[in-house]
Amino acid sequence: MKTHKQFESMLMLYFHNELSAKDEAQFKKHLAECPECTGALRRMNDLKQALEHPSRAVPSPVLIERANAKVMRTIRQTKKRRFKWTFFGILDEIQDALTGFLAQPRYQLVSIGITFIIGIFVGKLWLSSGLRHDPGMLANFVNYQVALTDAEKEQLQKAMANYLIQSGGVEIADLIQSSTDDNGMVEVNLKVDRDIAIKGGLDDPTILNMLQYSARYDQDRSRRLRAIKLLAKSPQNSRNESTMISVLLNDSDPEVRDQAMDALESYDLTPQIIDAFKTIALRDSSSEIRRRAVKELYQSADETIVPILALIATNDPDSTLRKTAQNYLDVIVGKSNQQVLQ
Amino acid sequence: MDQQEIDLIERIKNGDEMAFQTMMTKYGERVMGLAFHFTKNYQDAEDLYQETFIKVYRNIGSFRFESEFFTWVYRILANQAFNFYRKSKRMMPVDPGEDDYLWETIPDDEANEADQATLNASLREEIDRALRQLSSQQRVVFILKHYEGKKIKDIAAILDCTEGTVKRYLFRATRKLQNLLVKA
Ligand SMILES: [Zn+2]
Repeated sequence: MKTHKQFESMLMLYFHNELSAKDEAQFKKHLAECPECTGALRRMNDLKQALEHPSRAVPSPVLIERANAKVMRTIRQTKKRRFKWTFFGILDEIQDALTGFLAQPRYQLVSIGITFIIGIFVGKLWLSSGLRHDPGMLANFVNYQVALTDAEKEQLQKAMANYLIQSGGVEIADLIQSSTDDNGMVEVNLKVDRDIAIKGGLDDPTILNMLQYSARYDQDRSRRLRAIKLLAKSPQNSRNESTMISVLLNDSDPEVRDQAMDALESYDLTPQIIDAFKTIALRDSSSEIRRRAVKELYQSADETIVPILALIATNDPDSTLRKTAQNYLDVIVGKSNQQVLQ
Repeated sequence: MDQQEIDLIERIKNGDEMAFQTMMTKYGERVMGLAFHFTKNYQDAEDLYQETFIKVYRNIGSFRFESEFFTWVYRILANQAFNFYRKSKRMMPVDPGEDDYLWETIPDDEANEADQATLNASLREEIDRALRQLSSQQRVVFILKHYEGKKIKDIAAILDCTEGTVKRYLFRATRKLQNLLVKA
């Protein structure tokens, strides 16, 4: 004999008319003697009633024509520049190609997560038109995804490579075997000749991820600058912050570092930012950036900066900056009431 | 399938753009209507419409004349709607969008008396609003079940997923709609 609890799960199927004849008969019998199920079913039938008369919308011919024109434009674009794919097709095609991979139980992320991962790939390719000159960048990008384990990264790279090969527009650039015996690892380098575009606002996590990646690793200096400028318009958060810090500490171009400095100056100071400024104040090759860092440190009123300022006041190659640091130091340790030079 | 349609599809398969446009003109209104049916949002409907036809164009090679052509298109549409995800962060059209004039909303059952139609207008808006609050997966599964009268196993076949998945979305949609529409 089934209990009420077991019938409860049949209620939903009964409501949607999906019970087998035998189950339905059994359920109906239970229904007759169970006030709980009867009540629940009555409430569900209210829903059925509420859902009657759905709207149907009839599109005007103008709308259809406009939409058709857009479809044709997309199709012709794809044809004309064979490898210039627009966002439309690429997402679901990659999705199709990766579905098998992501459908494995351990990759069953929520759908937004899947979209996100795919977005990462798509965006990666978009950012580096340098990819065609640098097949290794795909691997680098996947490796940059901290949330993935090494095994997952490897699998994703392989899935992506399979996808690219399947869909054409890719050639094998090089085949290398690491050792002379026949069992050595084989490395296959792919040359990809394809640009892919994605669109989204500055609140779109995929776009932000792309920008963070571009800011740190893009080969093209002007794109790094643009990425930093765009990122600076999105609110401060730990990933934006660490991106800016990483650029400030590592970028070889002073103008790019300067741009990151602009962003960091506009942020609320955190211990990480103060640490970055300390390093930069001591180490940056540009005296202008060192000067800005020193000023920021002074304004942070953090007392751990005293030894840093002392070092700069004695060792900095720039005499003006040495003097500035000394002035700041004097104010902090109260030796002087002199107005600080700005 | 009539010979004329078979010829048309063969021409599309051979890359004939004119033939493709003819086909879009032929099915456009039905596809756009269904796109709205599945999204309950004009702008999304237009996006979905475009995605569907682009996919039809790209995959026409895999159409093997094993079903009616429109059935095949319908399947692609339902699939795209199921996996639809809004590209830009677009708000729900609470205030009338600029493209609303391009649509005419009509009652489903045309036999309605005129004043009953007005009476139902606000109710219909309420239903649409509730349906918009479902995820695209929940909404498409629910619409296929409730409005299109499909069986769970057919829905699973259309959407390429398991019956268990369909049930999960369907049950969740039902409970959510119940909370949204049925007052205590
Ligand atoms: Zn019961």
